[in-house]
Amino acid sequence: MFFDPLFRKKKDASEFKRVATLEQIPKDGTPVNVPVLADKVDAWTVEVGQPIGAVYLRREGEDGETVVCYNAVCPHAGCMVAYSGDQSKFLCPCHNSAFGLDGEKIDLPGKSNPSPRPMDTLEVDEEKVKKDGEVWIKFENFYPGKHDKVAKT
Amino acid sequence: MKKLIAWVDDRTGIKESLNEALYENIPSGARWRYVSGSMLVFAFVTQVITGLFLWMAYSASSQTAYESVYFIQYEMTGGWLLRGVHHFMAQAMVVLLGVHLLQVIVDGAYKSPREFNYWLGIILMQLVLGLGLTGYLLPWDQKGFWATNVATNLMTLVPFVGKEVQQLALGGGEYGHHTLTRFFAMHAGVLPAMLVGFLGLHLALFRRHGIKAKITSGRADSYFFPNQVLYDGLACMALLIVVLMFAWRGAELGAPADPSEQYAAARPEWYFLFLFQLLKYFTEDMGGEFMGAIVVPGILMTILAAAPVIAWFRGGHIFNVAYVLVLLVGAGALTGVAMYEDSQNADFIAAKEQAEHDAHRVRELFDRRSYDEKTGELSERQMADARGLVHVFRNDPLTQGPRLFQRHCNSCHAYTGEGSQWQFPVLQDPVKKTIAEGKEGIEVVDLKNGKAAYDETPLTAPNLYGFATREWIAGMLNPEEIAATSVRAENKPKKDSQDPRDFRRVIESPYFGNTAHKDGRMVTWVKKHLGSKSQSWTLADGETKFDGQIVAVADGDDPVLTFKTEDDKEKQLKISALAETSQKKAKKDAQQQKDTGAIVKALSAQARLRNQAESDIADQAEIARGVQLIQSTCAQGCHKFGDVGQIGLAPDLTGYGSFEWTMGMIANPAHERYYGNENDRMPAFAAHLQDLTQNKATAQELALIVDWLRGDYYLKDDEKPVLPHVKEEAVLAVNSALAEPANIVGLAPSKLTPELQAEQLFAENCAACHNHLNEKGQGIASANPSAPNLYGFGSKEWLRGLLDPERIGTAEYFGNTAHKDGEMVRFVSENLSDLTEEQQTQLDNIIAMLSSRAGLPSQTDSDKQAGADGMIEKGKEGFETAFEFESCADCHSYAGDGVPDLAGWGSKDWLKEFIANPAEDKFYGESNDRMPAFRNKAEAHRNLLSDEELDLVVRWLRGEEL
Repeated sequence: MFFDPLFRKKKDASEFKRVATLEQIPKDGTPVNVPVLADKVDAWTVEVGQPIGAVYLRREGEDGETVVCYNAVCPHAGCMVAYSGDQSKFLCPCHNSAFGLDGEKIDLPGKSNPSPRPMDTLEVDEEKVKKDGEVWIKFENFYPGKHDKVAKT
Repeated sequence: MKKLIAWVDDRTGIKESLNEALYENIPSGARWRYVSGSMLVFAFVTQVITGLFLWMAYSASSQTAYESVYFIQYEMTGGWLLRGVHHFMAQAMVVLLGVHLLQVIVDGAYKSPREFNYWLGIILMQLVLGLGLTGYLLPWDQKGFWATNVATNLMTLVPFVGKEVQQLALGGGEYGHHTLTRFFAMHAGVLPAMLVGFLGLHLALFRRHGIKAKITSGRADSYFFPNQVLYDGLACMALLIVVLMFAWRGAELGAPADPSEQYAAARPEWYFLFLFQLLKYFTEDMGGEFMGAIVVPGILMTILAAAPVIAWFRGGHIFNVAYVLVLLVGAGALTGVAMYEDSQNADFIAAKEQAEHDAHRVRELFDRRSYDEKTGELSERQMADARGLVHVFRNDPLTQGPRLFQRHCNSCHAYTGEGSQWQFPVLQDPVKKTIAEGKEGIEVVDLKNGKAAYDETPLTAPNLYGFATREWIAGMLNPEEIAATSVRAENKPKKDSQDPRDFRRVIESPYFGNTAHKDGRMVTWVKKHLGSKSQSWTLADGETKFDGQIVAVADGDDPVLTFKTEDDKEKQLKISALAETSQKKAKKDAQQQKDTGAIVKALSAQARLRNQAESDIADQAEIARGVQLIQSTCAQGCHKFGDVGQIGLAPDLTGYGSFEWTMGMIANPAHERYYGNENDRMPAFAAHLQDLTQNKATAQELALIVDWLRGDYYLKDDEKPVLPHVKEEAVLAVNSALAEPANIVGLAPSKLTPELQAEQLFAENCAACHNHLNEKGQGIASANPSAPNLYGFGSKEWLRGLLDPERIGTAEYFGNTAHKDGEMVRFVSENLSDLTEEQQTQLDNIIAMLSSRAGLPSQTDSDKQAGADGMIEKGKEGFETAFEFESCADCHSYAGDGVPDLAGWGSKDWLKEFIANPAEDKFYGESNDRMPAFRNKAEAHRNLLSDEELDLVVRWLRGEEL
C-alpha cells in the first residue's frame, strides 16, 4: 500500500537506445539537444514513444567521429540545462550552475557554481557510431545534489 | 424562540460554552495587536471551505489534474474567484504566520509557562508550509511541476532514507499519477487533519494560559466579547477584502506540465524564494546542496524552536527577538536578491514571457474550433481531449513548429522574412581555438591576417519563409535569385575583439545558391529561359528606350515608330531597325513575363495555402492558363505534373507545396517522386514506412513543421479557423506521398532478367521523351514523345530515316524538339531531297560508314560486307565532300569540336558519354534541348544513373547480349 513504491520492480536501464544519427550532430562540436523516446509507464497508463528525458550530443575528436552524450538534467537540483550558443556554455536556468562544452563545471562571472559535479555523461555505443553512423546511448538519470553519480533505479 | 434556545441549551449546554468562549478576561482590555491568531484561524477556515469546493471539481491524475483546474479557473461559474481566494489566502497565511511569530517572540508569549504552546505553533507553521508546497503541484502546470521537482529532488539529500522518502512522496521513481494522488491526499487529508488536531491543542493551551497581555496601568480589563471580537471580526474582513482584491486579478495558471519540455522559468512560490536563493551559494566546497537545503535551514529552525529554552538564560529573550528579526530580514533580503537577479537575467525574462505566451496559447487552443466549408458554420469548441491539454499543446503547430524547425531544419534552412515573428537565419561561427594556459576554457577567434577564419561555408538550403507562396515561387523562377548566395557579418566586431560571437556571420541563399543544384538543370533553365535577354532597351508606358533615348512610342500592342530625333537618315534607319527588334523583344518578354506569372500562380495554387485561398479563386482563369503552360514547359522532359510528364528526373509538381507533397518531401527527399539520386544532402526524416523506430522524426513531428510552414493552425481571429492535421493524417500523408507497392509475405526476392531491368531503366529514365517502338509499333511507348524514337538507334535503317527529308522533321526524329528548326533538319531537306542515283549511292555509302561506327551486333555481317565493298571508304570521302553546297563535315567532325562529334557515333562508349552529358561541348553544347545529363556529377551516387545502369541501358539499346 503506502510503501508500494519501494517494492516495485525496478526498470532495467542497461539497454542501448537509439536517439539520433551522426549527421544530426553538427561537425563543429556544437551540441544538440535530442529527446529520448520510450514507452512511458505511469501507474495505470502506458504511452508509446513518449519523451522520457533529453540529452545533449556533441561530436569530439579530430575526425569528429566520437560522440559524447550528457544527460540534460542539471546535477545540482534537477532542472533542465539549456545550451547557450552565444556563450558556448551549458547554463542552468535555476541556480546559476554552468558547464563548458566538455561538461565540466565553470564559474560565471561574479557567481559561484553550486553544482556538486560535472554534467552526467551517458555511455554511447561507439561501434554503432563508427559502423552505422547512429547514436545509441544507455539512458540513465542520476540523483542530483550528490558528489558522486548515483543512478536512479 | 427563547423556548427553543432553552430546549437546545438544556441538551447541549451551549450557553455555557459560549459564555466560556466569549467572556474570557483580557487584562488591560481588547487590543488590535491580538488579532493575528484569530486571523490565522479565519484564514485556515477559509482554506478549508474553498478547498472543499475546489475538491468537488478537482481530479488528481496526470491526464486530468491540469484540465480540471483549467475548468475551475476558466469555465466554472465563479471558479476563478474560488481558486483565487484559495490561492491568495494561502499566501496571506504565510505572511500572517510571520507576523504572528514575530509578535509571539517580541511579546515574550513563548516563554514559560507557554513553551509547549510555542512548540505547537512551530509545528503548525511547518504544516502550513507543507500545505503550500503540496498545493503548488496540484494544478500540474509547468511552473508548479518544475518547482516542486526541485523540492522533491532535495528530499533525496536527507541522510540514509532520503531516496526512499522521495519515492514514497512521488509514489514511484518519476512524477506521475501517483505523485498527484499522494500530494493531493497530503494536501487535502493528512496535513489539514493534523493541522486541525494541533490547532485544537494550540487553542486549548492558549485558553489554559490565557492571553499574554500587554499590561497598561489604568486600562481596564475587558472580556473577549464584544470589543476584541469586533476587532478580530474587522481584521478578518479586512484580510478577506485584501485577498479578494488579489483574487480579482485571478490566480496564475501556466501551460500544462510537460516533463520533456524544458522550463527555464521555474521558481518556487515567493515565500520559498529565500531557500531557493540560498541554494545558489552553497558550492561543493561549502558542503554543497546538503548544507544549503538541509543543514543550514535545519539549524536555523532548531534555534527558532529552542527559543523558550534560550529564554531561560539571561539575555535569552533579547537574543530571540534579535534572532527572529535577523531571520526575517535575512529571508527578505535573500528573496529580494533572488528577484533582482531574475530581473537582470535576460534568459529568465525571455523564459517567463514564453511561459506566459504558452499559457495564453493553451487558452486559445481550449476554445479552438474549425470552420466547416459545407455548412458554413463553426464547430463546437474542441476543449481538451482524453489525453489531456498537454497533448493538444504538444501538437500545436504554432507553438511546436518553430521549435522543431530549429531542431531539425535550421542547420541548413533559414526561415527569415520581413514581418515574421520568427527569424531563424543560418549562422556560421568562426574557427575557434581555446587558450589552454592562463585563461582556461576561454575561446578566441582564430585570426588570420587580422581576419577571422572560417571552415568551408556550410550547406544552406532554401529559405522556407513563405514556402510555396506566389512570392516564394516567383523568387525561385527569378534568375537573379535562384542561385544567389551571400555572406554577411552579423555584428561589427569591436576593435581587437576575440569573442567568437562578434564574428558570427549569416549565410544567405534564398534558394539553391549554396547547394549542388546551383549548377543543376533547374538553375540553368531559369537563367536561360527566364533571364533578361536584352540590356539595351526598356519598355515603360508604351515608350521604347534604346540606350537611354526614347526611340519609339507604342500605341497599344502595335508599335508606332515615331522618332524623336532628327538625325541623318542612316542613323535613323539603324535606330529604326534596332527599335523594331527591341519592340519585338519587349513584346516577347512581356508575354514571357505574363506566362511566368501564370506559371507562378498555377504552381502556387497547387499548395492550396489557406492565406492564398481567395486569390486562388480570383485568379482562376490565369491559373488555368498557367497549368497548361506548366504542362507544356515544365512537364516536358523534367517534371511530372498531373498526367503529363514522368517522375524520376525532377521533383513531381503534382500537388507541389501541399501538405501531402511537403510531408513526403521531408520524409524522403531522395524518393523518386522528389529529388531521387540528385537529392543534395537533405536527410530523409521518415523514410522508413515499415520500421518507424528507424526514422529521425515521427510523421506527426513533420506535420507540426509542415502545418506551421503552411499556416495550418488554429488562430482565434481567423474567420474560417482550421485545426492542424492529426497523427493519423500525418502518417497517411507520408504513406501516400511515398507509396510503396504492397509486399507479399514469403515471396522470393524477384530476379529481373537483364532485359527486363534495361527496359525498366529505359521506361523510368528515357521514356519521358523517347519512344522505343519497332516498325510494328511494339515496344516502350512514351506517353508524350518529344525526342527521337530510339529503336534501332545506330542502325542503317535508323539513319536512313534521319536523313530522309520526309521523316527527320516528324515526331519520329526531331519533330517535337528545338532541333526541328535547326541546322540539321534544314540541311537534310535542302540537300537530300530529289537525289540523283549517284547521290543516292553516296548517301548509302555515308550511312554504311556511319552505321559501321556504331558496330551494332546485328549488323556485324553487313558492316563486313560494306567494308569489303568499299562502301565505308567511299562513305568517309562522301562525308567530307558530298552534296552540292555543303557536306556533313561542315558541322560534324571526328575531332571533338563538332556538333555533335561523330567519332565512334552510336558505339557503346559514344552513347555512354553522350547520355552522361549531352550538353558537353563535343555533343550538343548549348543547343542541347532539355536532355538531362544522366551522369555528370563528381559525387557518383548523386547521378541519375549509376555506371552499371548506364552500361546496361546502352548495351540494351544497341541490341547486345546482356
